[in-house]
Amino acid sequence: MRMFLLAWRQLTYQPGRLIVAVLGVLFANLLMFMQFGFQDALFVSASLIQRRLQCDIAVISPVTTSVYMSNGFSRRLLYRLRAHPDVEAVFPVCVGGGPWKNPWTGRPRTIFILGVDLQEATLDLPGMAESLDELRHVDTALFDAASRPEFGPVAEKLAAGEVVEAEVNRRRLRIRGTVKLGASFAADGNLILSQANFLRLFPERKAGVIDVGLIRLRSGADRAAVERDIRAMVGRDLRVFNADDYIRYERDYWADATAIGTIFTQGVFMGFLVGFVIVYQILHSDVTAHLPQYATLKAMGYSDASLTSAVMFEALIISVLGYGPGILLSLGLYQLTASAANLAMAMSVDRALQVFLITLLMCGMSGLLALRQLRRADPADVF
Amino acid sequence: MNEVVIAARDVAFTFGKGDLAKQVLRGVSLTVRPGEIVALVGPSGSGKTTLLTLIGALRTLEEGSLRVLGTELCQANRTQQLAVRRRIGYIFQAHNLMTFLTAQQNVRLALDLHPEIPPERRDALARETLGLVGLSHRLDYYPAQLSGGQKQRVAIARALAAGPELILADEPTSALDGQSGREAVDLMRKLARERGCPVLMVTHDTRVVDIAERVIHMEDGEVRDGGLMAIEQVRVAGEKG
Repeated sequence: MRMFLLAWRQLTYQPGRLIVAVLGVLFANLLMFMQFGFQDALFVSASLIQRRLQCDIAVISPVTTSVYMSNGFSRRLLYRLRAHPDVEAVFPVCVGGGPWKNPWTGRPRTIFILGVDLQEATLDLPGMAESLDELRHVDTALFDAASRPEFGPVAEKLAAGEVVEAEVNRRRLRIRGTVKLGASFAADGNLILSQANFLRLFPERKAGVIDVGLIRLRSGADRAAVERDIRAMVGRDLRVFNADDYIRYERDYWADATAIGTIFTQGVFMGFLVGFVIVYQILHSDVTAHLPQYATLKAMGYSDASLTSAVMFEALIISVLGYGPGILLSLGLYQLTASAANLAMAMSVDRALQVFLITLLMCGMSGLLALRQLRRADPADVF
Repeated sequence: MNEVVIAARDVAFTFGKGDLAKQVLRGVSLTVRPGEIVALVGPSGSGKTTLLTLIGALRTLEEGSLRVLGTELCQANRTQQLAVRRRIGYIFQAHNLMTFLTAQQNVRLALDLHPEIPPERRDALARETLGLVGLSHRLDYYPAQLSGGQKQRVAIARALAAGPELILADEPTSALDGQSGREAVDLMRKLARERGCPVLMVTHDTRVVDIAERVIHMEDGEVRDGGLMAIEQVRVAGEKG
């Protein structure tokens, strides 16, 4: 306790230096929180579609790495799986991207397009089930209201009772309703069409080719066993997942196969480094400036351990003083980013704890390094 | 404790090793008894400061025998050294106060090393001791706000507050002007007398030598004339230097 008090007084005697150290930690925290936040948002948003799929088992082409870069496969491969006694229904999904011309500004922007089966809602989205029938009309679509604003105020105009038509892939589509899915790093916005309308939009695509096959099992079926059976049935022609694994597959693609995960990790590391260097500089110069005084304390009978704890308390105080405003400011930035970029930026207890531990590590390492100076404080030199 | 406070016998100390070795103490023997005020004088390089750091348990002694406050310091381990240090009051050449602590907090720092002093008593004791050195009106001043003499008085208060069994001082007046040097010395003598606390001082300052009851003269790592020297001689030496 008395060493804590000593550390506190030593730090607060020169508020300027303390502020610099605290700002260093704050900056490092902001950087880390934003990097982690972006990374989480990326992983959540990258697998946004998978998270909404209503299925027990999904099949894709073995070549496909991500739904946004899909290779198609023959619909017959999917339909063949209906032969399994536990399979209740199968639903094909087609995906593609095309230019959406903003009806109000005329500016084109690529939008992600899903062609779905109309038997029932295969995407768990608010408003989807009620709007399915709307999609039976020629050249109609549902618009993702959580798309980026560059696509135009589609949802607002629809809500106001206006008719919204837009040119997509050089074809005029009537927007008959909205759903809420969300933008991701790979897709700025989403459009949902029937399979028939999807093929009208992409005439170059072969009718029998789909991108994702969704399989629903009878209730009471042994999912793991059916999954094994299906895997055996498709052999090397298709990749088979349960719903959770499909989410993970998409997420892992963005995390591992691309440099994105690495980049964010590097961002976090940069934050760590910046904070570490600033805190070390402050602590090092603080210890150096007080070397004769530390030597005096040793001569008076203070042990090395108590002086070590004084320096480590300084590091602890700096971490806590920096982390407090750091997490508060980050929460604000999360909100700002979430509303500005439609990204799922969310603070979790795990994340808060993780960054706090990294901050403690960062300041602790700075303290330990600064301590090397302390050993030079020889009480015999005081006389 | 009723016999001697410091008993040194054939204390030898060498800096460095091999060809670079320099022997600074060559078999020093001396004793200091309770209540004595002893001045340690001698030209620079005579080894008196080294002797003081050995007595203060700030260095490890390898050769000879040195009992301080009943503890043998030759080959003493770190724990024993720390225990001896806590029973000694040091007054340094430079005041060496913590710049970020007030006068009272500086004195309190010395008291915090003594678990036998109840924590709630420590601030009062710090204030009392600062009162003894005439600084009651400067309790909450930082060292930067105090004059040189005042700082040294805080340092004296810090050395005395916990009731040390021995006071070691190294040139306590060298950083002070004549007036405040005199005051500091008078203060040390007064407090040492009142508490019966022995004082061992290294000094060049004749004013300090004046208050000493005994003067030990050192030269070239040895104690001269059986450790006694006429005060007149020191005075002459001091005036020359």
